[in-house]
Amino acid sequence: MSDDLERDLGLYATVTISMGAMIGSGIFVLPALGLKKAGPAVILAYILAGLVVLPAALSKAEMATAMPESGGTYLYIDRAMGPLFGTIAGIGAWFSLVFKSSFALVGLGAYLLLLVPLSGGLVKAVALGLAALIVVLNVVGTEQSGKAQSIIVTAVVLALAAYVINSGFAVEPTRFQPFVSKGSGGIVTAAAFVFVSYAGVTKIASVAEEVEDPGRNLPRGILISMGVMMLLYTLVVGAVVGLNDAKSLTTGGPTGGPSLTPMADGAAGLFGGVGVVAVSLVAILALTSMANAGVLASSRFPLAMSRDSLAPGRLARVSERFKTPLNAIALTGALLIGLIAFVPVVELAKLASAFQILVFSIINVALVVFRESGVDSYQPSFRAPGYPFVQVVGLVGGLALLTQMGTFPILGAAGIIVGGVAWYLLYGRPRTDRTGALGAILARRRDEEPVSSD
Amino acid sequence: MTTSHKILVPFELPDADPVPPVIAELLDSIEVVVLGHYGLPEQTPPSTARDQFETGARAELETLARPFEDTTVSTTRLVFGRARDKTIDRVAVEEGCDVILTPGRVGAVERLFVPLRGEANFDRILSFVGELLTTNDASVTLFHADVESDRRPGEELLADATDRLVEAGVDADRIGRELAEGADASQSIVDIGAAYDLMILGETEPSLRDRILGAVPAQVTSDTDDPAFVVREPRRRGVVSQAICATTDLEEHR
Repeated sequence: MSDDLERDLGLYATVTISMGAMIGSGIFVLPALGLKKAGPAVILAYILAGLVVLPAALSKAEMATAMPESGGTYLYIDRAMGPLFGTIAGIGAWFSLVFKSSFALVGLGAYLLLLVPLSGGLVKAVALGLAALIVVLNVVGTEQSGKAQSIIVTAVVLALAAYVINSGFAVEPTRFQPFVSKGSGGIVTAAAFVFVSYAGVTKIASVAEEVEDPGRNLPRGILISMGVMMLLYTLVVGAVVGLNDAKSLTTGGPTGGPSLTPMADGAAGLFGGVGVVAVSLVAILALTSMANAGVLASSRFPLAMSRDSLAPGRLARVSERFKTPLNAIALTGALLIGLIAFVPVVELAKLASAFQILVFSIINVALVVFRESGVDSYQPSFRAPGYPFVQVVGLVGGLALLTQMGTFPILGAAGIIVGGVAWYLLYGRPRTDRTGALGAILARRRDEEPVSSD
Repeated sequence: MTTSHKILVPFELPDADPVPPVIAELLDSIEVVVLGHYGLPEQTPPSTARDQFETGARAELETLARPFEDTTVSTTRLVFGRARDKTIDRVAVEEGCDVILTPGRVGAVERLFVPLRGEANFDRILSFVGELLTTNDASVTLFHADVESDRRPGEELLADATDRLVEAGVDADRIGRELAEGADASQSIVDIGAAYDLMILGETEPSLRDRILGAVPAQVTSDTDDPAFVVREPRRRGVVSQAICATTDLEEHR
């Protein structure tokens, strides 16, 4: 009766999967926003963000090899730190992914309008239409398309490489002066905003049980894909900065905000109208794939929480007709559409990053809890290198980024925590009695403590 | 002298097509593994679907397995997932099945069609055909499409194959031969095979071409309405996984 998976993903497949999950709004939409915060030093922000994501990716990969049941961020944190933190992480990760998807859809709408002669004011309407379409697709159910995914990744990487190579001839060095125009604080802030550009690396964790020779291929897959993407992002963002007038990037978007189509802006100068079309097509391809994967993956959070009695049971119900978890997808879709309709674009990106940083920080703590608890059931086949220093760096780095994001994102993150606690107290606590690995540590502490005064 | 065979009979749940009763009768002395694969879209985690649909799926699988004598069904497995072909492959390896039944409709089994490609799986295919023909009085046509690269002339191959079946106790006048020249192997197999009731063919080693275009048996069995038995080498775990690296069943990022 087993339906265990086969280990058939080699290093190359692991790297492609990871890169496929990373490429999206981070590079096609965010560079102009980052430029506004950090000046040309936004290039450094991309590297800094990558360094802070890395520990969480390693931590998550280790936990994935210890918990073969298909889980994810929510599951690891819940099993490590109990249902209270599980609730916070589940809601946080859900929001983060839905925000990210809605941001990708707005970006997608912006690139689409470059191809069709319509008013820029329609970005939101187009994004809403696309969101509805993707939600319907997910409700009806889609077939596995691993091949399509790897074709998209290859096409996008080739297109980005071509972009960089060609831009080498057209970049104006003066545009990099002054490099750190907004101070080093600006770099940290920008890093926090472009954090989502690397979040996809943790997808390696969700296929960890299928990776052959995990002790070798998991860390290498993570490091190589992160390395390649850091290099690619650096070069592409460098090209975007070098090709465009800074002012047109930071104010060229809808209602005078940062441009949402920075890649295409550069392409116009590089290859003319054909370049804009080509870049837009690649961006549309990558962003559609990202938004679709985002809706699919984020609907798993309410579903998983429902199965653990942390959310109403009907969210885990699979539709008889479509064989999809209709309620979880519908709830996710409603949030997605609501966000696009009512939240300003830039705030979407900021909040997505803030929630992601929060969850990634907790992921590092979860690993420490598992390692320290010594629970017998925790037997990872891959052990993250550099423990516990890497995790501490990840946690401190994440929290440091979070504090640099400004009031609104911090309030958002705090809101998730407060909301999560409230939901847990009202709904989850009467229905659960799990304690997680943290419970094991606390119980042991109690036993070890000498019985004092009374 | 016969090698013992074990047959994997996969069903695509829910609402699977039943195996035609004549096929089930044919197998009444051969060990059968029944596999129910409950197909899911990528939106649905298999564990959730299992919780909800397992009872119904199990009942359906039981009904589907009924035409087979209880004695011949050695194992019944139920898998919820997305990668159907990969699951069939994996279960075949785990259960040591060397023949896989692909579904189709047929009213009576009177004429068998056996395309032979070359040495690969030669013994195993003929041993299986021999076993089928001992419990049934159908006629069989051995077929070969000659290609330039053949190490062995088609005439000789078919003569050798006939001898094997005769040795296995099949009356020589039940055995016919047909040799085609040139042409696209998989297309001529489908065209000629259409006139028959049941096809038995060998699975080939996956070549680079197979990985891109799909293996010949897959093309043949998807183009024909007849049921078919695909005979393969019983492989060890691990060997097979390299052959199917193109299809991976991934959990989504969350």
